[in-house]
Amino acid sequence: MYSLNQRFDNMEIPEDEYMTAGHVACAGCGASLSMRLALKGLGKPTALVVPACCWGIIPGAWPQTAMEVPFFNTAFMTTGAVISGLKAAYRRRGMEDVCVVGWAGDGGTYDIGIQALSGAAERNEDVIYVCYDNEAYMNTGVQRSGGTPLGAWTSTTPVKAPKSESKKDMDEIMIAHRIPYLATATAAYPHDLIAKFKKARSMKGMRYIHILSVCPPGWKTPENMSIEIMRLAVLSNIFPLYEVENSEIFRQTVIPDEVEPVNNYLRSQGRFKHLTQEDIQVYQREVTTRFERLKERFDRIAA
Amino acid sequence: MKYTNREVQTPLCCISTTSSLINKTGSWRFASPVFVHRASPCNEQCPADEDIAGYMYLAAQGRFEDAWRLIMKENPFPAVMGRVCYHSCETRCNRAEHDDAVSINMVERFIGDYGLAHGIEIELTRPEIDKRVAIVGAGPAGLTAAYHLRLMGYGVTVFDSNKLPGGLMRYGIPPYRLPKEILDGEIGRLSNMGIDFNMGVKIGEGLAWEKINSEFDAVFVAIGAYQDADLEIKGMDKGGVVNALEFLREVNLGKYLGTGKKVTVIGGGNSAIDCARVSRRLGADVTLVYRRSLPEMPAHSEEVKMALEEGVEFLFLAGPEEIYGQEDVSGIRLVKMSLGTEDNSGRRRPEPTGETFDLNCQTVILAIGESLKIKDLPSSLICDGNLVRADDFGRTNKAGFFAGGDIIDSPRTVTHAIGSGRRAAAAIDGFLKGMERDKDGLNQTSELADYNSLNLFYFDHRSRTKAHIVPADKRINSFKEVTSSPSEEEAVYEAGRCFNCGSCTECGNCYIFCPDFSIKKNPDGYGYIVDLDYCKGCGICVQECPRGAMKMEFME
Repeated sequence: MYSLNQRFDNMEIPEDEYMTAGHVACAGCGASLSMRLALKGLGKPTALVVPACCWGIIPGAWPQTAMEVPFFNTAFMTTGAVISGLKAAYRRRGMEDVCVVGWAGDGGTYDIGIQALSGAAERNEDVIYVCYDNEAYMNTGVQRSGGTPLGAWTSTTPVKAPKSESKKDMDEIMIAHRIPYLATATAAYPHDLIAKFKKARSMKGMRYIHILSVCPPGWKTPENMSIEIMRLAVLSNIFPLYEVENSEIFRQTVIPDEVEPVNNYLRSQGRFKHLTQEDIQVYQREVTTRFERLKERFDRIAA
Repeated sequence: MKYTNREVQTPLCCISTTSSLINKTGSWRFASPVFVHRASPCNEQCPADEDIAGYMYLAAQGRFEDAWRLIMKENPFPAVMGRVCYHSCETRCNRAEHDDAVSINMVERFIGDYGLAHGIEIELTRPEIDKRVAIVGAGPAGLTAAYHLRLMGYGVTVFDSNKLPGGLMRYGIPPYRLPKEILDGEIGRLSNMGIDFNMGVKIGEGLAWEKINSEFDAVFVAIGAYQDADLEIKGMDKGGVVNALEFLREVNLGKYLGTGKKVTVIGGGNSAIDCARVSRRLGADVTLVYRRSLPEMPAHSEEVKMALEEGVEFLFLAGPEEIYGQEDVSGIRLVKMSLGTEDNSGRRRPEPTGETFDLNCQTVILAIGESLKIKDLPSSLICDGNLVRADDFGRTNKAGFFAGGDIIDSPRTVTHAIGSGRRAAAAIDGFLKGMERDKDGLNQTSELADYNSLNLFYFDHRSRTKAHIVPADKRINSFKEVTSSPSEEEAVYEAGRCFNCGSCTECGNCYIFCPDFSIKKNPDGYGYIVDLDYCKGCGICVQECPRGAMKMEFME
């Protein structure tokens, strides 16, 4: 169907849609596009559980909805518990084939929802948990979260005192739970994202997918640059695209032809505008170190 | 499933009951994406107005007949063009900044050969028009005008003083660059369309211009430039001094002029190179004498390179002073030149230093340019200097008379001649219908798809296909074609390297990346449409379009 771009030869994007227009995400929203593409990979029957986050309002205010799959709004800290319960209820009713997906932001995953998520992972519940990570509490006005990167501006880490802590390494926490499948994805690489959701759907047990999702108002970026910025995150190894099976088999799914310096990514966003050249060097070192650590594990599998 | 408590009739939890489609988010927008067709730099450059980006797209999918028909909309000689065009399009190719320019010429050649090999003919679909146009001169300009006018439904008669049509394509270009059977094939297709050929008639001698004027509703004059430039030096009357066009004509007719063992060619243009390379094939040692230096040479660089490979000696900064010998040439005296200040052409002017030297030779070929034979023209046409005064569409001072090819102010290449024929055909059509015709019907768009309008992430690096060229030591033994045609795989690969700048190829990026479900397949045909009811105007589609085929329009 859509495969004429030289980069994406022989790959196809399914044409079916599982939600509609009229949703109220901001222009250029990475989260709404991520959901659209994820559902193309998941297909039906799928049921979504969403805690407080942007996606609590994106489908529209009651009584409207943009969703064409069941979509359950729940409380901030409960996603892990609700998906466990919902899957059990479906199983009880003989609807084992329904794929139950928790879809939470970084606040609802890194901070407020981590207890319920950790419990579900430890029990290896047969669900998919997706963290769409826009790196702050965007829905309530850009407050810092555990997912906010080092040096970023948010409304609670102003320019005079930007975030002094590094982003929490949530992926490593999930890998430590020894779950069957973990993947990182971004809408800038739609074929990769869809392939990972397809693969996750075909598997059993706890599956965790971490999506980097640009927020134009929160990151202070032009709306049209959303894809470009997410692509830069991948090309500069800030957000490497990889997947992990059973916490053992690591595989990098998109390998940049040429690794970009973090400078281009940081300079594309207003939230990093105040960073000095020294700050950027610190940032570069951190990104390089973290990627090298990950790369050792890719290499070990390759060898 | 029961969601309500019947007794109090309040829901246990809120359930959405309506679709968000009632929420027309298009009202948020302050700028709208639109699909545009921008001119690619190659299309803009093409003197024959071909839609290169378009036929590359078709060829990349193996749709060669469609590609051929697209070229034929402008140019009736794709197989000839694929051989003799100097492809200035490739110098403007956006891909050159990415890795290497696309070999457009190679793909065009394959498509042209495909048309000939499969015997594809052009169908006349328009109703016949009861008006007749005379084409005087059966070179590329005249034949192209004849082709387009015939397609439009006019009756067309072509007059030419030669026995066979083709003009310089037949009597000027040597067969190692353009085999006669290719030319015959493409001209044969024109005769099949019902164009009358009246060969061996020289207008002004056998048939008066007045008669042509009264018998036809419009006249296109494209008689070419055959007046030898004057070279006022001693010894021009010696046996063995020959003019370039005359020499090439004899060779093309198969009557090889016996050149001496040593040949001196004077000139630095493409004809000079042709004469030098032909002489090499006739077994001579050739020295090409040019009064400026290599960078100033007007000849095409690939031709120069081939000539060097074939053993042509180049002598720069020298001009003819005297041709000497008894009855026949035995040598030429040359004067050394030095380069002075820039002239009108932006090149440094050669100035004789006074120092002379001699070069032994038995033949001197003069390739120092040709001009128009004014006496061959209808007397009512106004000329500026040595050229017929005409506007961009070939309209002359005399109503009903149009001019094109080498007799108007335009570079003297086959490609430019084809372009002038096509534009004149549009102007003639306008004249006969009593309409002004300028831009309509021609590929002219105001916006250019330059390098910055592309998103290069979507193009990987792929090396350019090399042309198959016969080694120099083999090729100087015969007049066989020097470059052979590419294979189908090579043509598809090379066409696939094209960015198709400014044209939608239905790649789907706009559709894939739209967060608002607002890009849809065009239900009425090709491409996509924007659903302005819901488009929030983020502009991701425009940013991610690989080819610059979209733009944002800001509201007033």
